[in-house]
Amino acid sequence: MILELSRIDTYYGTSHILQGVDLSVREGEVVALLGRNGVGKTTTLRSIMGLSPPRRGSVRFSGREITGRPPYEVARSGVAYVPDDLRIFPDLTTEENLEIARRLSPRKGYWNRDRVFDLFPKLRDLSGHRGMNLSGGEKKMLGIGRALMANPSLILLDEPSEGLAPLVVANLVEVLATIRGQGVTILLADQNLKFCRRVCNRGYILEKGAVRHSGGMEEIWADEEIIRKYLVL
Amino acid sequence: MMQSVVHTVLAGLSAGMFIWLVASGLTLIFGVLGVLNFAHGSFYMLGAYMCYTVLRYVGPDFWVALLIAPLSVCIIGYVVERWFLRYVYHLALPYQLLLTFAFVLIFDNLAKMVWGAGSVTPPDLSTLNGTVSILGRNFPVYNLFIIGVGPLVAAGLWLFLERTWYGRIIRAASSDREMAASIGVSVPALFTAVFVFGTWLGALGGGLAVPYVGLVTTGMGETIIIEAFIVAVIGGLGSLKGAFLGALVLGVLTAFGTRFFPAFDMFLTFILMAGVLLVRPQGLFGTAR
Repeated sequence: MILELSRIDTYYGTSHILQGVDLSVREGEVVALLGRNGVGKTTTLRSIMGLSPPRRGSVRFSGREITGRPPYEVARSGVAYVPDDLRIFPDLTTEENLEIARRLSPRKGYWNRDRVFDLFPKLRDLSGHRGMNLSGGEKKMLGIGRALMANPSLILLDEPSEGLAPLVVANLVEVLATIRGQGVTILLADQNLKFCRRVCNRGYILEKGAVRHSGGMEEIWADEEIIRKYLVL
Repeated sequence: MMQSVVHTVLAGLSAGMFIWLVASGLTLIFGVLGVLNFAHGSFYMLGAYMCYTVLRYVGPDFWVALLIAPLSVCIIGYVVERWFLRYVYHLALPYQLLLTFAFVLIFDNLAKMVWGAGSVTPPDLSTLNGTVSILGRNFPVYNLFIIGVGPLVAAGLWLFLERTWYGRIIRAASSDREMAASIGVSVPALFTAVFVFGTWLGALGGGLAVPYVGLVTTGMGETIIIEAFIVAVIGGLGSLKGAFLGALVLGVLTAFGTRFFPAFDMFLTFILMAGVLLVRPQGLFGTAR
């Protein structure tokens, strides 16, 4: 297991958001966190990253306990995070946004600026543009590119398909396949079941801060009752 | 008349540069850490006292004093950030103001205990102590030197922030602390470094002020911090460009006030601040929050 969460409890102030979340991801897998808005998908990713440290329970990454470690240590150990609002540094150019991530990472590997530009050719033309001037779609590419520049072994992706046109989603499916092909493990949170079915092996379904169901994507796809109970709005 | 105006502008610019040196550290610390550091004027004062101490007990070489004094104050800045401020970042703004204000009082009293309640006078310095004739009237060389140092510090800061990777990391962290941490920036270490660097800027201002004012008092920190705050607010909190322009305008305006309307010199300053804030509540170069 590259990632193992056991019984984590995370609070925002006094509200108990995650209530004993258990999940695990094997190396090379693409795993989905499914569920409606507000069930704790983002909080799960933030708990792993150390941005919202769990109060109880344990997060293990690559065999090491990382619960309560500060985000920069989690990042340097090989976890990259792409938040749903992407949070591209507005004042830095596209190229600087990529380069800063490479410089801060102690890890070497396949990914570098040229390979990210090959993956997202559009970014090459935008390399001198400041982050604040990029469109939503461009920021999405840059957010994923910036994560790759650290050569992580695990990427946490929050709502990757949100707000994308169907054609762009198809492109994202290919991009994720390429990333996976280079041995990167992916844990993503998304509401788009169709998209998840195309990129993920397995899925965990969250409801009210706990895992209610888990299984292969095809199995979840075929289970109308589960879909009606936990996923359809 | 022309001569008088030019000399007033020059005097205002040199006074403005001291405000800039304090405001630059204040602004940098606010921009990155989000803390309004009342004690920044104390670093200016301590820089002046340390400079005096080195001149007095090590030797009357101003450049040596200017090298040693600000660095010694940096140690104090380190202690303040690492062992005190760090514990109030997560608290509301009033707690941070209260803590830094406490440091103003502590440093004032410490300075009185160490150097006495009155003012101290540094030994006579031969450094840049001549005058040059400008439009037929003498102007101190040292004040011209100060007018040069301010823009030099501004240019250095700009190059550092825009053109080096440390500078880009600082800009990234000041716009999004959490995301910076998520790509591997040790935010606590960065905060300490920026605070110590800001301390150095303030203390450098204090050291440079020693030959300019000719005596060192505990009250000098309070006077300059009020002006630096006004400048930081006029320029837009967090904007170095705004702080630089604000300091020049404030320095020159105060000089004109003192020269031509002595009864109203502080009044002009606050009228300027009120005027700017009425038109642009976020300051000249600030972004609306």
